[in-house]
Amino acid sequence: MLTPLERLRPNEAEVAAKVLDGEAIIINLSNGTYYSMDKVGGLIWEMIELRQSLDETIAAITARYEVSPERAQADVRRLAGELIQENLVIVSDETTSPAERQDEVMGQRLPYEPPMLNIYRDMGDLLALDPPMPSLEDIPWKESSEGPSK
Amino acid sequence: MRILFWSEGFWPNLGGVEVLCTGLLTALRARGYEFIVVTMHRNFDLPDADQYKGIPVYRFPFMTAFDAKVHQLAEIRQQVSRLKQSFAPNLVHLQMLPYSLSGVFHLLTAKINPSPLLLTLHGALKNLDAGPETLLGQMLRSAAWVTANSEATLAQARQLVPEITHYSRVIYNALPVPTLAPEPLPNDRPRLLCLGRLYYEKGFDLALSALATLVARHPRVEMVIAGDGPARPELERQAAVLGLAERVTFVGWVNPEQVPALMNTVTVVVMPSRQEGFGLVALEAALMARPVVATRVGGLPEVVIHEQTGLLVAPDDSRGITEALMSLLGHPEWATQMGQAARQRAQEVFSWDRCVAAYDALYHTLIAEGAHAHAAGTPAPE
Repeated sequence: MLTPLERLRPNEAEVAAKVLDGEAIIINLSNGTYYSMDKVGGLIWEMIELRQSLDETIAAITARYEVSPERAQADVRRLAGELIQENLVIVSDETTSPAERQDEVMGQRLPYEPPMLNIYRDMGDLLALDPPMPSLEDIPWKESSEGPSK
Repeated sequence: MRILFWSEGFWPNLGGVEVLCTGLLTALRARGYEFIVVTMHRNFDLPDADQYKGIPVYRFPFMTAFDAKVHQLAEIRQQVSRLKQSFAPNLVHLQMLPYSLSGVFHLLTAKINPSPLLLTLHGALKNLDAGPETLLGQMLRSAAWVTANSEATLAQARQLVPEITHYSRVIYNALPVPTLAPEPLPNDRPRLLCLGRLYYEKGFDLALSALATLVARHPRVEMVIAGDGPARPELERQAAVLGLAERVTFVGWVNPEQVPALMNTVTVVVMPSRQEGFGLVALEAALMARPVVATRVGGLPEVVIHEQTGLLVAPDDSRGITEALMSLLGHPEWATQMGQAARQRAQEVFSWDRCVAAYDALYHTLIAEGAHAHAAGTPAPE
């Protein structure tokens, strides 16, 4: 059971992740599974990368989104459990936050949607199906964008 | 009405999907739709932004990003997201082969523009996982409507995800009737044709093995192998080892416009595929009144009717191919009748106008009813 002061950190040995425009894309390199999380989920991943505690994460969420601390806490705990189960994060032994951060003060908080971990377990299998393509060098269709008459 | 047309394979790459898609786009544009195309870089000497007959084409390096380059994945998601925001499509029409991983970028950006998804399945889905935590499963479940290019493909999809049954149907691939008229089958010097991407699944190695046996009965028989791909060196080696180098001509890629003329020079088209969603080459052959010897895989038995428009054989059976070819070459009138029957059936069952009209009607229905068309169980227009 995670305590409010505990911190998670990405399992960097096995995981590659990037957050852009608030959307996190995560790859478990050991098994080829892809994951994505948007909005609240993306924020949670950013907080994990910053080694923020669960309490600090919940505070950041409630500052930005229209949600009660109790609901945010339940959702963060659920998602943290899923991330641990998927081996994407590990519980950090750091006791203090390495990065002091100021929660964004929003004029108006955004509508809240519970964070979802989207999982794509078949990416590695599908990737293996992709047939090798020949080089384009000899393809006559390149000649003009007029393309086929049919 | 704006359609974001998504196909990993697109001009100038060659293949059945590519030929079909370019034809559909131009025909549907003539019916008033505005298109943009999202496709994949297969070769980096093509521009990111291009045009096909005035239709904007955007190429993304999907495959290199899947090489675990998560930064590039995130950047592509961002670019696709911006494209959707600026184009604001009323419908996304995504062409899906079993290995169409780029669909994940549609899912990752689905909230940006909540337009309905029309998913067209082009290939065999057998033995794939389509659970809720798979890309394939999520694509099928998130579609407003699913079309498949054959009953075989549709049956596999429905078996994987039964809930799509009430929002899925077949729209057969089709081609316009070529302006070139079919010529009589050359029987004095029989020529066999294998046409397609040269890779293992097409089974052209089996056609070569069959040819090696066939020459005893038909010493003047020749074979043309048209297309290119990773299996070409092995096929060339096999032809040489079997003593067929003089009889087999590798002509490389053939422009789709030139396929009817090529068909006119051959007696029988051979499709020994190990898997095939539809088999557009069988339709190209039929439209030029050529009988086909094909394997009973995927949609091929729907395109080739055994003993009516061609002969069907078991997969991975070069002896069966030899026997079928002996039957056809030994009975030229029968072969001619089959070719003519194939042409007539192709114009009826695989009518280009009907195919275009079916997509047109489906576009109208889905756009009118929005993302929840399938929730209401609305039947697609036939």
